[in-house]
Amino acid sequence: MGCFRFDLTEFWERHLPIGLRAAIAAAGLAVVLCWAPAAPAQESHIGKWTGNARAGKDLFRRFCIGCHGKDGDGNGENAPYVDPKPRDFTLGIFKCRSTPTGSLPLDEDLFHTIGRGVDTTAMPSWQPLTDQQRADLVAYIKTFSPRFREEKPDPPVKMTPETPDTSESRQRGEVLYQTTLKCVQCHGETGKGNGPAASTLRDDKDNPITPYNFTALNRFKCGDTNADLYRIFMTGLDGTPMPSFADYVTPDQAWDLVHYLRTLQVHYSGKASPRAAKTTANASLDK
Amino acid sequence: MRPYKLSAVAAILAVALSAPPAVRAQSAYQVVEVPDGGTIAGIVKWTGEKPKPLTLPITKDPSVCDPDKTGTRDLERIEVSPEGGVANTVVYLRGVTKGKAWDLPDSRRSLDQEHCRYVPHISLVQAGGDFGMKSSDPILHTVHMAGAVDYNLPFPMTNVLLTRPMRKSGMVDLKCNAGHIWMNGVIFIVNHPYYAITDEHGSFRLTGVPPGEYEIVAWHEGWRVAREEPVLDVGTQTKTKRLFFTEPLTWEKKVTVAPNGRSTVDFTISER
Repeated sequence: MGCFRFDLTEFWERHLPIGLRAAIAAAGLAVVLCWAPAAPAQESHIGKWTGNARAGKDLFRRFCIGCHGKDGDGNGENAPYVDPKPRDFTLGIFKCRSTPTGSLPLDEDLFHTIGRGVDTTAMPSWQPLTDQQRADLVAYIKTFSPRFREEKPDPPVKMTPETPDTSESRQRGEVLYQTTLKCVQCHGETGKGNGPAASTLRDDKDNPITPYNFTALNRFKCGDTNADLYRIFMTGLDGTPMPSFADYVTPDQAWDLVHYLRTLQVHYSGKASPRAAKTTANASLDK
Repeated sequence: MRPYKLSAVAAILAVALSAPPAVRAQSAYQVVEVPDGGTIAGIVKWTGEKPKPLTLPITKDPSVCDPDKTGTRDLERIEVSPEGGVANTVVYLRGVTKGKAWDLPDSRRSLDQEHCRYVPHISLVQAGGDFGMKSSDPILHTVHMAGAVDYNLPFPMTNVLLTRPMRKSGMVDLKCNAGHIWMNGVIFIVNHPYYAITDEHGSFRLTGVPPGEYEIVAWHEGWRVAREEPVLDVGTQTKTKRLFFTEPLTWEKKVTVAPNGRSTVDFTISER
């Protein structure tokens, strides 16, 4: 063609002495190896699965982008029609965690949320995906927020084995709900989600949000087992007005509250649903 | 060209093109002796017609929130003294990396909830330090943080002290989700102790400043409303509104501090 072309290969082979070539290659390799610690944010670890962000990106672009958007900021093309709004992953703030308020979630927490879906929202259960695919998605979701590179999640909140569900336990739970912890302010005296503060509530994006209505529903946003319920009020649902009560109740008191809250769920049979059993099976991954 | 050479060249190019992650880490503040430290003092003054304070009706728990029965609550977004001094302005030196021992005022390093106000309205805490919170009110409050940290903590009983580490520097907005929508406040999480908050006369004072040239910044949370939304308080069936504020405002100057010297920097702020 007659125009000047810089040939890197030719330059490398003809103009650099072999010693210099080796030194440059070694330096490059050393830098690459030294940078390896930055890599974990591109991976997830859930039980025996290691999620890969690159694989997760393809899945995200196929299944998640419509709501969560290509930048993971919750501004996908469906977002205007969805209430509550899709999660903005760039904030690194998540409702369903096993970790205390203010902490990042564990990889397992995100994995379970994807598999379980988020009840009463547009987020479906992604059980049709394989465990490996969900682990890949977790790895990719973590790339949207710098928090996952800069912070580590706190240890999960303490959970003891469930205490017996007796009438005394329920009564103690009732006192906590109605009086001590003042849950009634948002959730209302009968758990309908119509407490005096309910109408003023907004999520972190300033969108109106309603407190959970125990009387209408059996499942919760973050699961449907007693352990999930325990976890919800001990961790709080970050990004929503639901705070963490971990500073105020002992594990035994938390179980009392669980037993009382179940009495507000008039349709709750006490038997775990098949889906709950599935979720519990997945929870064994935590160990 | 053999593959190992290609990969070596690629590795070098990749390194040259991307920013090393270590650069992002903030250098920690270093405490040193400052035997000849100077003082910067001054006043933040208002000029022009004084802005009207922003208020909201007290729609919830008036027996606790409104002991004086005024019916409304000043949101404390702008406080101008009769002489024109602007309170609650944060004045700080930019980018100081070493200097005096930490001496942020005790009164700014913890939070009370009193008559449904956050006290102090603006808190100041060391990055990495602990921040204590309690409530003096016998009703439910929550401290819902948004910003550099995002704890969401309830205060269902009086005088229970909760403490949390403020891990990252930056600002944190506070709101109460227990229906007290007028409650608002800010926590400043800072990397060095050269921060002051103006008192009710608009005065501030930075002491123990190592001699040198500095950029000095005045920061005010702002007093204007960007938009508002109607809200119905179910308990009292009272219509009220939720206010959304404009972005904070800053003013900058340069200041030189001589050994054992005293420099004066005044800021004048106004509607603009």
